Amino acid sequence: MTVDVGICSTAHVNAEVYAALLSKLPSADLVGISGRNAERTRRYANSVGTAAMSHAELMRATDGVLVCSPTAIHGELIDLALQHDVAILCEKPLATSLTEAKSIRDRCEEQGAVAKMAMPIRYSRPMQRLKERYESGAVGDLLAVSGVNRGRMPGGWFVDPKLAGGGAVADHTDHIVDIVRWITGEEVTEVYAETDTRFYDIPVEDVNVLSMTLSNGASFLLDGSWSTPQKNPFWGDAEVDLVGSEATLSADCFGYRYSHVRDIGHDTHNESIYWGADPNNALLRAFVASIRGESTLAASFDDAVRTAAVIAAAYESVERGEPVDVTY
Amino acid sequence: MQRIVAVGSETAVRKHVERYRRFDDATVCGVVDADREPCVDEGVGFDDIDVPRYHSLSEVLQTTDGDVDGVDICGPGAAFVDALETALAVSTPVRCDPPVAFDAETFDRLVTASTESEGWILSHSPHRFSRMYERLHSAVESGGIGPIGVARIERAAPFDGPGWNVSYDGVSVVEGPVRTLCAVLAHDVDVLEWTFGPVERVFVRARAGGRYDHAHAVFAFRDGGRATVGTRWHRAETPAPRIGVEYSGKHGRLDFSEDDASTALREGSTPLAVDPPEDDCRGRALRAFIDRLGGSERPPTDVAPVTSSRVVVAARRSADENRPVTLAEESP
Repeated sequence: MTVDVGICSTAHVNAEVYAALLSKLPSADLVGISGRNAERTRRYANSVGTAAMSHAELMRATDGVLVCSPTAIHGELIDLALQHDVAILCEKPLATSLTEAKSIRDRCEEQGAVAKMAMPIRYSRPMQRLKERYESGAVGDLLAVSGVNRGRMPGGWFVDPKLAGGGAVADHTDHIVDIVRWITGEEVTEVYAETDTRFYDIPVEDVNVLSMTLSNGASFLLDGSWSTPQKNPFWGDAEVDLVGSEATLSADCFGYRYSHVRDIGHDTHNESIYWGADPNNALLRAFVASIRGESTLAASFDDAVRTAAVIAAAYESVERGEPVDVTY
Repeated sequence: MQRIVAVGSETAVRKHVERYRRFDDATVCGVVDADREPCVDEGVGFDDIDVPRYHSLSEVLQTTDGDVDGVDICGPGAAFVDALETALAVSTPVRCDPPVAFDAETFDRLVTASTESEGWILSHSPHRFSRMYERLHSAVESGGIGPIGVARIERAAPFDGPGWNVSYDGVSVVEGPVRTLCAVLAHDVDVLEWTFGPVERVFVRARAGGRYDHAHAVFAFRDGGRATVGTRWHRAETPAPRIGVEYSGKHGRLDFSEDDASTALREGSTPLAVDPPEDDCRGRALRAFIDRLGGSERPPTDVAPVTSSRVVVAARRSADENRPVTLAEESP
């Protein structure tokens, strides 16, 4: 039996990716795509053979929705989903502020809703093996963590501080903080942040370097800048090194790549293509499973609140020019 | 013919003596064995170096009646402050690796001593003399990637040769891992400042334990841009890759990893040196020292470069006090 799902808003760059994957997922029926921009919504919907509709129509037609709107709109769409008792898979970050993230989490918990975060890296096989190795004790005592999650600057609403809650810090802190928390069971306790706007003429930061401390005392360095050149053959990266008393383990989420050099036309000439198991596909399968009441690895809204707390601490650190404690 | 005294641990001195031998205009007139924990990784004794061996630089100066043109400290100056001060006291120029000091007091004392002396200190990282870094530097300088946004360096080994981790073990036993790791950071700071201008602010965290030590630093440059340097050092095994460097600017990105260099010539899985010793990065650093000794001009400052060591002093303070340190606070 299939589950009816829909994509709520086409504003996020991942909406198109999710639409393509959901349209092929045997366990799901992509019943529609909703959005305020009717033309873009229709175009997206047509490209995968589904219906374009309003948000309210979509909520009435589905068992679960992927919320792919600008971050500032998440709360409004999640409330609509709660009114219709629809399961939620929300793009990160959950909200533009820690206070709003907590409020959304609490509203969902009160209603007992199925509410998960779109954290595909938890479904990355290298990351899953890293977790297994870490839990087996292979690393020993964790001394330090190093991570990167750089990417191309996405533009659009992502660089509007009111809609996105910030720039590269808001966009590219979540994944690696979430995966390190998930793998190690440790929380981020302190953040020192260096940010700047160096690559683009935009009103938000595109440099995002965080030096953190974990609850066991390990240090944690993360570069989440929008520093990947627009013409880079691959969009970005997601890597984690765990340095321990016994060993260092490294995982590269998108390490499986081959290159494609095109020698015709005027489009992109050189592209790297990921050929490993697709974490987005596994994320969507898990969301469908969670609608059915099956347990999954998915990140909860409480996980999202914890990464939102790290993001808030990072911005506070920039303002104060010193390391700050993370308040959850 | 420039008469050089080489001061340092056995392994480092042997490498430098090998290079000086290939220069026509230099000779090593004495070596000062500063080994605290003798290294045996190469299986060859120190005595096979056909050069008089001494216990201190003072002993060399006494024995040779001061007939020494330059002192080459084969390692970070900070590990051999006595030799630095002895050389400056008799107005003899010194070459060493950065940093020249780990604390502000020693740093200020050395800067003062060099100012008052006819001697001077050259403390560039040998990385500056590698062809790889030269190409990166010139690419940035010519505007190849535009203004820097983020530079990122990952380093699991500071120097050439497969025995590096053995020497780290020896040094870290005496100096402590945080100080040793800051000595490693000094090389990257030197190259970063050379390429992107002065560092304005630094924040460092360091951890030590078990077989691994780790430190990371976050830098803000005075002209904008940020950099991270992450080091991890295993006591017994060589992590791979040993080095990764990436400079991302407004108009593009430059990067290299150890794989770029180690694939040039291999024997099985072991990379082999391609450059002859006198023309590798260390050989070229020594060549620059000899040329400076033979020239009529002093370096542009009495300690050159002076700022990379200042940044390391600030880095130590940041690690100790868990706060960012702005370099203006570190001015001598």
